[in-house]
Amino acid sequence: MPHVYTLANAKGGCGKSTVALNLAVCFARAGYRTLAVDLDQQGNLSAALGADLNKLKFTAHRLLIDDQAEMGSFLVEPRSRLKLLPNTIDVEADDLLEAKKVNRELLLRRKLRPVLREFDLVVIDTPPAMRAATLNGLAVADTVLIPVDGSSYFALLGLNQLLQVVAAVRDAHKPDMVIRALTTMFNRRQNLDKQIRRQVEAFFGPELVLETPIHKNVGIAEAAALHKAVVEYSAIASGTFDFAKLTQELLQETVNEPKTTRQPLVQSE
Amino acid sequence: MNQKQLDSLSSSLSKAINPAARKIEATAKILERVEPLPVVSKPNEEIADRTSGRGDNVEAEADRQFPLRAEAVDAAVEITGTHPI
Repeated sequence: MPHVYTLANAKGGCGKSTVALNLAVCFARAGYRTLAVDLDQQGNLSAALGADLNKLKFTAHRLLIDDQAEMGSFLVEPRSRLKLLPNTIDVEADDLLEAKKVNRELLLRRKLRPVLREFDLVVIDTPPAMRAATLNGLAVADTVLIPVDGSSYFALLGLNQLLQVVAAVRDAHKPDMVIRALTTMFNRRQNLDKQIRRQVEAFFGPELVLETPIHKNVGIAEAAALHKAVVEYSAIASGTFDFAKLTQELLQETVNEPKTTRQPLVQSE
Repeated sequence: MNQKQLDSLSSSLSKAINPAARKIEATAKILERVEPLPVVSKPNEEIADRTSGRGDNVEAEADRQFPLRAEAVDAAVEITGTHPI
């Protein structure tokens, strides 16, 4: 069965969608059949992977609220070995999802079940709000990746609320779920960033903090603006190096079998 | 060294050499510190939702849970699923 990574943090702007985009592309380029799920109606992950948000009809929220809908018909393939369940703003679908009463946090799990064997890895982006969409993302997560903005004094605010929600979902549905903290927008020359990194390590403990930080790098944002991951945009950007290293760190932990089709993450320009 | 101590040592060693188990344990430890929010549906709430008719696909859910033959129950029972079986 695939390993499911869910990006979650109650704080907005900490890099959830950027990390989801870059990890999904890196996994696919490394030879793993990857599914990216955009549960955030802002649709940043979908847009960055090339979806036209104004024309999207088959969205993640529409899939979750429709009992008869099958996930296969909602997926698009923006890259080789990478499929996407896109999303965009749809107030009606969001209201209907929130109004669901019966096991509403397990809707994605039910929809994923028939297609899981088609993938080696799943990357899920969630909205900052701890609502039904986020609960669905957490209820299928093997690993909850928590990006922490390494340059913001407010980075650790809201973590308690997130952990309370994670604890509830883990107790009810996923007893083996693991959380991992990932420092993003890190600048090692800034004392504040180093201080925040130490606070994150103290908060989560050394076991749960990913060794690789994602440094602040304009190449990452430039790439997203061009509907690309940074590894597709520049072979020499520091973001490319960071995401290649992060991909390796995660794969070493979670994927046991090396894939024979593995390819270099970065191709020379 | 008795059996209990051996078991304990064996368990500690297997955790020490198994990073995945260490991370699961570390996750459990950090989540112990927080009070889980009541955001997930509990089993009795699920039943209540199914039987009240406010849930989704109530008939199918009720049929799955109480697979009675159609001729043995009236329509109301089929929908609410509250008939004492």
